[in-house]
Amino acid sequence: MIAFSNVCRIRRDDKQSAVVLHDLNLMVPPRARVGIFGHSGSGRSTLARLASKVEHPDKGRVTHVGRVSWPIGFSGYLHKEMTGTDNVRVVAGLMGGDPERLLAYVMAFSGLESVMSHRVSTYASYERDRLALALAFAFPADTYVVDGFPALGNNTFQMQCLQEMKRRLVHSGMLLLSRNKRHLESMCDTFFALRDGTLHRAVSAEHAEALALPVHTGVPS
Amino acid sequence: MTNAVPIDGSSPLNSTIIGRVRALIRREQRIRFAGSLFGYGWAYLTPIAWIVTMALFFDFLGRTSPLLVPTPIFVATGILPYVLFRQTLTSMMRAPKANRYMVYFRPTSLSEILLANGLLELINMLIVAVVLLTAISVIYNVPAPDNLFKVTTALVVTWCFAFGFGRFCAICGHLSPTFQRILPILIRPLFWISGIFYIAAELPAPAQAVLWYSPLFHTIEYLREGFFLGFSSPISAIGYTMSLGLGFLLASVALENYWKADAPNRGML
Repeated sequence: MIAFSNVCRIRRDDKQSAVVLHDLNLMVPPRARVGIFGHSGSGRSTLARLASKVEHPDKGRVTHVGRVSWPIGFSGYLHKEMTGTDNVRVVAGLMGGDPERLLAYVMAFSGLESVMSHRVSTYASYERDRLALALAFAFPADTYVVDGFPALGNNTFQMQCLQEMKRRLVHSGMLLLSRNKRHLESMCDTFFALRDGTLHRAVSAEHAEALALPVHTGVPS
Repeated sequence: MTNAVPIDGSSPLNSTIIGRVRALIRREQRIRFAGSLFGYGWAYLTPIAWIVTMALFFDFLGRTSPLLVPTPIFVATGILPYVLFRQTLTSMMRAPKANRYMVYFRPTSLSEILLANGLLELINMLIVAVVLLTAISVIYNVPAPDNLFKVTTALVVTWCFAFGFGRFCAICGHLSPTFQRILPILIRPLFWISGIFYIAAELPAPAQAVLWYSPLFHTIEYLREGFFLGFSSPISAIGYTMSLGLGFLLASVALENYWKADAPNRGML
């Protein structure tokens, strides 16, 4: 379970600050499938990081019950100068899994056996995404946080991932943040739109997409 | 592909702090000099080159050793702890940014990231110390250190101070980019006030009284006491350096906790 209560997140740099999320409340109950539609720049990834508690709010609180995944769909933690195998071994060391079993699982799931001994910098972007996704699936969670399913090189693998996710959702919950209406539609049963730093309840993925569009308040010409 | 089964044994409960620190050290070793000629060998070559250059430079300038040993050996015994301090500090300062995504793998924390980077520098510099001291003994045909335990203690206490100070500076630097820029200027005087190329006995009493507060002076002189038979210094209270390191360590924990309580997160603390 994930609960957001009055969460605010402000992005600061040397010169200015901007409110990314404002007074946000959200509950992802156990085994629920909550989908949030958000366009690029809407604060979608920030919300995913907050949900996984790898980033914390400036105000408010995020509460977890059970094990919550890191934001699936993100591959930035793979170091480009390390081989795929070394990246897997590091994650095994940090998470406490058996490196050999983790490696075997990742290779079987991703189909990347032939490139695992190569540096990640030589990977195509879909190969990086596959490796990151296989690593994320290797660690079962009670609630999965998914920051969009990336394009994974071919439809077969993407279908495999979606199937695997659906299989996991028999016993787990999910918070899916995406700008892909079809993914939300097929994976979720509760919908929100993320716009102007707050969540807007929607009745369907299509409705969420419509609600996520910026509201124009200018004077008509 | 679809026959893949999720691994078990992946509960965070199975992950230990030792396992996480080891994984972070392993990662740092893989990436720090990736792609360059000699690879991780640079971790040893850089400090060795620094120490050898400084030792030969002072010899070239005509600096005579205040002790009855060749000048390069005298300067090397001074600069070795200083380089250990600087390497540890630099490594810990850059660790939060270089490892920012590692906190995705909870319960990995910033503390463990800093510990891993600090420990790696200790390991590297102990190897550098063994290589250098052995080379010195062979090249200059001088006896091995008089008291190896004292030499090792001096290096370990230097590291403890560097770790405490480094943790404090890393947290400050994480919270304030300005601090990160100012720090190298702030610590520059340490090179001149730590007795790297002179000993305490050469200083007039008023200067000794002031420089007594220079933390690295104590460990450098303590190391020389262990290295050179019969040498004794009025500034070798390593307990002072150790206490200062502990003070900075506690201050860094307090600062970290204050920041967490005040604003839950403005980064990854």
